[in-house]
Formats: sequence, C-alpha cells, structure tokens
Amino acid sequence: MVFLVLWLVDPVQALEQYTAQVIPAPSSAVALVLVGLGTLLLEQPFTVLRRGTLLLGAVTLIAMGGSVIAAELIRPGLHLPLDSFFVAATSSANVSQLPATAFNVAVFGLVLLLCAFGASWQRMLGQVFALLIVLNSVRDLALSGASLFWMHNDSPGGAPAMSLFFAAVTISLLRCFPPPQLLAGIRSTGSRLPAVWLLIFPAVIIPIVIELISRWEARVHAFGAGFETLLLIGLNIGLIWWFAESLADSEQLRMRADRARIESEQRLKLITDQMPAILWSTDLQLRITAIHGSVLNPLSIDPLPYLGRDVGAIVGDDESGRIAVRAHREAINGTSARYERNVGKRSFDVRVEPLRDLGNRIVGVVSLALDITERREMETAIQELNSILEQRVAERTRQLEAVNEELEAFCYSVSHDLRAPLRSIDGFSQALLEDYADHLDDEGRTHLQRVRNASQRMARLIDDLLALSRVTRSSLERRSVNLSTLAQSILDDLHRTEPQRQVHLTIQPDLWADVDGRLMTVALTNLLENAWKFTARQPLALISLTRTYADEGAIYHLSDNGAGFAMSSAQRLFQPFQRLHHERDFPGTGIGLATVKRVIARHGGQIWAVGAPDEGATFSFTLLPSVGRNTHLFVDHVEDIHGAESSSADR
Amino acid sequence: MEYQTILLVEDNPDDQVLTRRALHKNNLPNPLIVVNDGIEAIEYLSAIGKAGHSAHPPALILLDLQLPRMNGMEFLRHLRRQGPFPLIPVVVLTSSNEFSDLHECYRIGANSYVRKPVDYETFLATVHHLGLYWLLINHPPPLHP
Repeated sequence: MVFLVLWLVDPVQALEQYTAQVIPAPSSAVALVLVGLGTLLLEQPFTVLRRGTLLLGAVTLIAMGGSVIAAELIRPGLHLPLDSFFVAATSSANVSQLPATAFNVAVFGLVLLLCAFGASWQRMLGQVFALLIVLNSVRDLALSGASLFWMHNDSPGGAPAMSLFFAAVTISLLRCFPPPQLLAGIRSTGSRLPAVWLLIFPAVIIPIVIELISRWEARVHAFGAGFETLLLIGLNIGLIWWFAESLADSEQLRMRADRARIESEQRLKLITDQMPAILWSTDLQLRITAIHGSVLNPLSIDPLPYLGRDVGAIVGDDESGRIAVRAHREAINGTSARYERNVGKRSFDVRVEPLRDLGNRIVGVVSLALDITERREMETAIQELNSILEQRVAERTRQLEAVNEELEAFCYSVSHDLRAPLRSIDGFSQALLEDYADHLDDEGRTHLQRVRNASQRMARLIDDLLALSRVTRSSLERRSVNLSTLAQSILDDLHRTEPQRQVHLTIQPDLWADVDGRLMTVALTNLLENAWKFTARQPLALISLTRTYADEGAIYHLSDNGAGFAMSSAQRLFQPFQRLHHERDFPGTGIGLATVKRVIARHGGQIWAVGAPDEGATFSFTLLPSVGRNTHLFVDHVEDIHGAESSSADR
Repeated sequence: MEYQTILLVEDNPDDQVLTRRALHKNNLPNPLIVVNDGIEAIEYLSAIGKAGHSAHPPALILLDLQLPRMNGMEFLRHLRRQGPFPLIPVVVLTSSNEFSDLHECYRIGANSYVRKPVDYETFLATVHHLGLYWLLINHPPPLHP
C-alpha cells in the first residue's frame, strides 16, 4: 500500500533516475498488498468470505507473477502492460515488475494456496516453497548489496526493497502459521501478529532511508566515497542487532514455554508413574505413537515393540478386541469412548479420547487404561461375602423356623393335652360331689372342692402361659390404633362382669399409636384388669389413661387408686409367677405383667411402675424404640428414681 | 318320637364319660354314639349311608381336634368334601384356643367352635346350650339334597 501511494504521488523529481530500482512497479505494489493481506487472512479463523478472499488473492498473485515470468521466458526484456492496469499514465517505460519479484509473487501465491487449503503434506510443500522465497530474496539482497557496494545500478535480481520485504514476510509467514512438523523449532511462541508488522516495518523503511541518504550524499558529497558502504555496514549491524534482540526475546519466551512444558511433563510422568494405568496415543491410522505407564513393568510388557503397530493387531480379533478397535474408531470420529478389557488376570477400564492439534483437527486418539483389578476383586469378594452371608441368614432362618415350629407344636400340645386331665379331675370331682354326697362328710366335700379349685387355677395358669408365649411367637404388625377406644371397650367389658362397681374412668381421647392391635389388646387388657382388680376395695375406683411427651417421645400412663405396691418389691413386678399380694386378696397367676412387658418390649418400648401400698400405682410405658443417646440417661434415671424398670408381677 | 342321635368323636375315655354325663344331667335323651377317631367316624357314617340301612344319620357331630389316626380337622375336611352326609352340623369341641385352629376349622366348614371349659359346671351349662340350640332351635339341613 505504501509503495502504491509512493508511486502515485512520486513527488521527488530528482529520484526519477533511480525509480526502477528503489520504488517497485505498481503491479508489484499491488502484489505486496495481496501478500500482506493473504498472510493476515491465513492467521484468522476461516470463514467463507475470508477463504474466498484468500483464494482470489492467491490466484491473482500466481497469475500476476506467472504472466511476468512467462513473458520474460518467451522474450527477455518484454514488458507486459500489466502496470497500466493500476496506473494509467506510466511516466517511465522501463518501470515494470522484475522477473525475480515476479517469481516471488507467483511462488508466494502458491504457498498461500497450499497452506490454506492443502492437506498435511501439501502444507509442508508450501513451507518448502516459502523457504525458497526466503533464499531467493536473500540472494537478491546479497546481489543488490554487492551492486550498491560497486556503485552499479543494474542489479540482475529484484529490487532490494522487494527482496527484503519478501524475505521478511515469508519468514513471518513461516513463523506465524503453524506448520505440521517442518520448522516447528522456529515457530514464534509470543504474540504472532505484531511479529509480522515488526518485520515488515524495517523491510519497507530501511531501503528507502538508504537510498534517500545515498542520493543526498551523491548530490552534496559531504562524506566522501566510502560513505555509502559505511552506511550500509552500519545499518546492517543495526538490523542484525535488532534481529538478535527480537530473537533473544523469542528465545526467552521459548525457554519459558519449554520450562512450563517440562514441568507439565514431569507432573504427567509422576501421575502416570503413580497411577496403575497405561497411557497411549495413536495417529489417524490407529498406529501407536507413544505408550507408557506404571503397569507395563509389573505386567512385564516392553512398550517399544508396540510403537508403530496397529491397535487392531495388538488387541486381536476376538469380541473384546473388536470392542477396543470400535472405541478407537469412535474417538477418531470425535466421540470419546469407554470400554473394559482384561489383560491376563488384570482388568482395565479404558477411556479413549480424540487427540486434537492446535487447529482443533483430530490427528489421532489418546487412551488411558486404568487398572481396576483390585476394585473388581473387591467387588467379587463382596459379592461372595454377601452370598455367604445370605446363605447363613437363610440357614439361621431355617433353624429359627424349625425351632419356632417346635415351639408351636409344644404350645399346642400344652394347650390341648395339659388341660384334658384337668377337666377329668374337675369333672369327676364334681361327679363325686353330686353322686356320692351322702357318703361324704363336710370335710370330704371341702377336700373335693379344693381339688376342683386347684385344677381350675391350673387351667388359668396354662392359659396365661400360653398367652405369654403367644406374644413372643406372633409377628408384629404395626397399624394406627386408637388406644383410647380400645381401653374404653376393655373397661366396658369389665364393667359388665361387675356392674355394681363404682369406677370413675378418665381416658384421654384419641390416643393414636402405631402398634400391633392384637398384642396391644393383650397388654391393655392385662393392665386394665389389674387396675380393675386392685381397686376393688375402693368405694370409688379411679382409673386413668393419659399420654405425655418427653425427649424420647410419647409416654403412656395408666394410673389407679388401688392397693398399690411397695417400691422395694417393684423389681419383681414384671417377672412371671411373681405376686406381691395374697391369692385370697387378689386372685391371679402372676403372669399378666410379664406378658405386658413382653408386648411393650416387642414394640421396642419400655415399661416401669411407680406406686406405694394403698396409694395406687401408675404404669408408664413407651411404644417406640428410643432414639439417640438420651435413651440410656433416661432409663438410668428411671431406674434410679423408681428402681422398677424391668420387673413386676400381678402385685 | 325317635330322638335324633348325636355323634361324639372323642378319643379320651374320661371326656367320653363326662360328656355322656353332661347330656344326661341336662336331660337330653338323644342317643349318643361315641367313636374314637376320624376313621371310625367315617366308617360309621358310611355304614349308615349304605342303601337299606335303617338308622338315621346323626343330627349333630361333636368333634374333638386332637385324635389319633385321623384328627378332627382331617375328618371335617373329608366329611365336607366327600362324606356320605356332607351337610351334618359339626360343633368343634376342643381344649385348644389357638388362633390357627379357630381360623382353620371355620375355613373348612365347622358350624361352631366351643372350647371345653375345665370347670365342669361351666361345661354342663355349655352342653345344655349346645343341645338346646342345635337339637331344638336350629333347623337341620335336608338329608338328601
């Protein structure tokens, strides 16, 4: 662009005689603009518009350079009227694109094409061509340098400015455009765009400055003959210094990058060494390009022979091999895949990911095979343990069931066979009393009556024991039960048996609880029968059922104002066959409260009693397992105060 | 008038005597046939069922559960399924008050379930009520459906 403007204005008449060498032909200026534009476009992410522009620019460059060269080849010295396209009134006839420049232009167009649209190897070819441009330009520069030195004006090469420009822009192209492999070492690691401009700047300015100064000297003769040489040497030194400086900068950047890369590689190595895994990568043809991992050694696998081999050949053609190859193919197509594979006795969890280059193109796959043998073994062990445990549970269950069946049979025969003789004893005693009353005196009749009483009491004992064992045998099925109505109906039944009794009931309404209805009926019946029985001597019996709440949940209280009991004997309250009162005062078998305690225990609850002789008793119970650490404190507390947590009888 | 017979299926001789005595004490003149187990009961009923037999089938069966050879429930099941007189009212008279027994007996077709009380006076009252209800109040099923 600069050159084009310079050409158009061309203000310095004195420079006319040098124009051919100093200022490029207009077509060259256009070419330079296209070259710069192409280089910039190559850096940007592609869009349709950019691709189109790039393609057009590259083709124009090729056509432009190619036509000039072709003309030169056909007849040397022939000037194509190419420049008149751009500047209508060409002042000097000898201004036209030099063949050397044309060569550079054409080849650069080719490089652009190859690098932008070519495959991997074509891009490499493009870089070779680019190197060619650089070499050509350096050669031209050397030639023009020599001609300057000898004060000749007819350099056989291109204009030095053009040569310098092409050398600079091509090097920047090589530096800024990521090559697949070639010249990877000279790639700039810093910001890429400024590098282009930095190189273009001296390429444009310096030749102009040199020419201006040398022309001024030619007119003024201020310094003498050696001046131009000195100037050139000075400028070259400056240029070299400047390049060295920027090279050092980029070298520093590169070293920093290298250090970061080495650090990251060391971290990766540590991870791969510590991790029970194998890492590998492949190219697009699924040939192994790298393989390492800490598991290789214990498996005595030498990674070297695998390099370059096809994944399919390594994993084999069986089902699991096919799965592995399929996973790699999926990764090549851009999807990560995962599969499990056994090698010898070891199991691996393999993850395959696409491997992408900086341009986000998939260039292969990278895979990580994690050794999960221990995990699998543990899982198997756990499964085995579980099945053993299940077997044991099933065995125990069978044993328990057998024991339970035995118990059932035992209880059944107790219920049936033990009662039969009692019936005979009672029945025949009665028969004696009826049929042989004449032969018996009063004492004989009393004895027979005692026999009958004893057998009936024995029958009650058997029934109560059966009820107690039934509480343990039957299964617990919790349902929402209204204890208030249940208690009321039990007390209604009791009232029917002794309608003459004056009993005042206080039952808190709607005492809903999640309990086994049948078992709870047994427990409440026993408790209420007790309350009913032990208040028999009170002119007005008071019986109440209430609920309170404490830390561990609901507590139910059944109180009466009956005969009560001494707290000192409270220990025995809930033990079977323990009685705290004489049979003649309050009849009973001593099994009822043991049954109650068992029902409460089946629900996971606790029962305790508070009382004093002739001052009534209060039975308190919970119906759910206590949760949390307060449980122990609470139970201890209860035992401390009442000493009645786990014992009782019919009193 | 010919009194309807009662069939007592009971292996315990004491109970046989006491039951007979209770019937007698309650002034129930019905003839009591006693068999010792389920098989004997089936044989008795089959004999009556044979053509030409003059005796009537029993109006009521008092059935104990715990019996040798064929127990009460097996007999009841057999009677209801393939007995000669499958509809005869059966009152289970037993010592057991197990839930499972109660449930099963009703399930297989017992008409009533009575637990034998140990107290003989209560037993007398029970037999009185049984006789009153099953022999007088209740309408028996037709013999030949």
